[in-house]
Amino acid sequence: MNYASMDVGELAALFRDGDNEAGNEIVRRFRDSLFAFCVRVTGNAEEAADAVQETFLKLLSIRKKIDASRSLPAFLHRIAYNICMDGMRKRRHSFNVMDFSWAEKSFPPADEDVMAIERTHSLEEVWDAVDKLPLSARTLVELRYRSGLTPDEIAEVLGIPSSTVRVRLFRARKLLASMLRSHREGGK
Amino acid sequence: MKRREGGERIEGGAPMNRDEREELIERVLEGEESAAALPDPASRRELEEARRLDALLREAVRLQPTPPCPAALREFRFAPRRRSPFRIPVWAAVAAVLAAALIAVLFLASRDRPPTGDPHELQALLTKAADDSLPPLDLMAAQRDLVRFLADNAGSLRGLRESGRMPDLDAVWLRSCRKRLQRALQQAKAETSPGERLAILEQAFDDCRGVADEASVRFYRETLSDSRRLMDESVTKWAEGSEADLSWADGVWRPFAVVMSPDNSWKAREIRLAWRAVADGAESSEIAARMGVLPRGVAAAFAVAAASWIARDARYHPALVSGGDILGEAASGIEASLLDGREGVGAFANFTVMPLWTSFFVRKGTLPARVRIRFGRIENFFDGFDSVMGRKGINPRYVLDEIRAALHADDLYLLNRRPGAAEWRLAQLYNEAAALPASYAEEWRSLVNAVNVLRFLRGRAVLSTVFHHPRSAVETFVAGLSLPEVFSGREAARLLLAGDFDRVHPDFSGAGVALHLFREGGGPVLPDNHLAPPSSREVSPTSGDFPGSF
Repeated sequence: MNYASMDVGELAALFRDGDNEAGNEIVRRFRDSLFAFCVRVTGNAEEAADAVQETFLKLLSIRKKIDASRSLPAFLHRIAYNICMDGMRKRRHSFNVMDFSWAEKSFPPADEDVMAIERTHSLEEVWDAVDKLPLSARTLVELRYRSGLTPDEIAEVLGIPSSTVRVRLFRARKLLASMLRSHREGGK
Repeated sequence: MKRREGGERIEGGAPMNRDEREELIERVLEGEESAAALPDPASRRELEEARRLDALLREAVRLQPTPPCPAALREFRFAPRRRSPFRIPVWAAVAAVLAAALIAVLFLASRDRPPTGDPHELQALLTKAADDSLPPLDLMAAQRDLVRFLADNAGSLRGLRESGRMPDLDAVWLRSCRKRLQRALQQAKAETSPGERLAILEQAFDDCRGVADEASVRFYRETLSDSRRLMDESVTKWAEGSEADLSWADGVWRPFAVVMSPDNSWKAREIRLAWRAVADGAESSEIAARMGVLPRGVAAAFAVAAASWIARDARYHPALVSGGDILGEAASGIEASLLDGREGVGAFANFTVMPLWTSFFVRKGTLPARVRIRFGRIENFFDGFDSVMGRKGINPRYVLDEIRAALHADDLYLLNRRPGAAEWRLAQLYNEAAALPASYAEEWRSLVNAVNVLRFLRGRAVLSTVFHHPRSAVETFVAGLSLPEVFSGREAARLLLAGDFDRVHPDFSGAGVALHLFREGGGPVLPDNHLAPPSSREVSPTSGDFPGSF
């Protein structure tokens, strides 16, 4: 059976029915993106690796509950996200590790200079700015761009309405633009 | 959001708020809405900014692909599913299990195995039978229930022991003792009469040996000291011929007060000497020496005093005369059997085999030995006895102690299904008694005579006070000793005093033993009507008709 050519839905269905080779194909496809996501969320590669491994083990333990008709990437990211959050809550002794207060702020309206960001900032500067985003904004950006999830899938991962995801994603980008603009102005 | 399809604002509708506008921009960015739906130029500018940033981030991801995860994580694999080439259908597996279970049941049922009994029921019965906070009648009923259970389930109890499911009888007993002692301490502290206080404490401490804490023991000793001082003062006055104030004597000292009362008919000299010696803390042999009588005379005197007092339903505590010496113990045992249903210590005719044995070794400080000896190695006891006789010379005290124990060992031999051996050994000892000083030899003979009592009682004995030692009771029954009828000591005494000799043999009871001793040893002889029912004869130590003159 050629697992590499199967789509994620097929793999999920096979894995649910006990085919561990399908599960290994799922691992191969998602381990890197999940690891990157977990690194961005936790800020620690060791913890991220543990979280990814735990994610796959969790998937194994609840394989019977896999719904092949729904997004497996969203399902995996939700598991990973919850594992990361649990770990962070334990370490910080605080429940509220996801602060969305930034999303309530207003940012200056776009101007011509902002339109030129892509011409004036290097790749490193963009990722540096992403890294400096608040965790909640960074998580949204990671899920949307690096993990490639749709707003609806992100909503499933984070357990919030998709409309909220869209609004926060919009504002996260504006925050990122503001940070890049500040960086550019500081560099002048 | 009120929009027409395509994102157009409904004419006359409310303007979009910030959230709605930004969500719309995001939808346009994703291609889900047309840019024409945007309500104003500012929104369109923001859409443009969002597009550029979106493109920037996509480009950044494209140019910096996700780094691979660590090598250790790359090795993660789900283990291949192992399927047995010999798959057994579920129905076949179930059938195999059922068949195996059926075979096991049939095999076990075919074995000659004692029933297992119910350890929980036993534990509940033990706890209740040892709970002396119950009213006397309820306690007696609880004890009877226990004995019935034991009698009905002797085989089951053996099964329990063999299966290791026997309740922790020591724990039951210990809990009961602690409760009893605590309650006694509270009662004693609330009691103003030293005699009453001491009576309460004496009983509690005697019953709960080894359980009391340091503070409780101190309180007990202080009470004992106060009480003894009062008694000493009164006895001194009384011995000098003055009339003593006996108001303090309620409780433990009451029999003394009875005897000391001016109109009692006891022989004043012996009794006064005895009280005095007791007040000095003398042991019975010393008391006897002071009185110029055989020790058993002291025991008998005390026993009769107790017997007289029980007839008036008064309270008396036998521990007064128990101090580690044989005769005091004998007296206390006799009286205990009459009064409290307790086994006392050394109440050899009480036929409370295990409690006596236990008490003996507790006093000797060799409690673990009783277990060892009880179960089949009684020969060790005789070896020990021989070594005492052979290596240390003849020590009358040891001899008497050991003979007393040997009397009970006779019953232990019953338990071990080797009747006769103890009697044979006792006969040897009896002959050897010639080497002892005369007074001890006499005492020895008296004690050995009790073997005849035991022999007579065998087969229709009354196990009177096992209830105070549930463990012993259980083990007695487990060992196969069956007794036709069981009474508490108090009940036995009452039956005896009521003349019910068909059910309780007089030789069993304390009074009967006293009678036996007196007759055999030439001591005071009780009037013939001593054992008549109290209802037909008013017994009062002050009425002058009891216990008669001697």
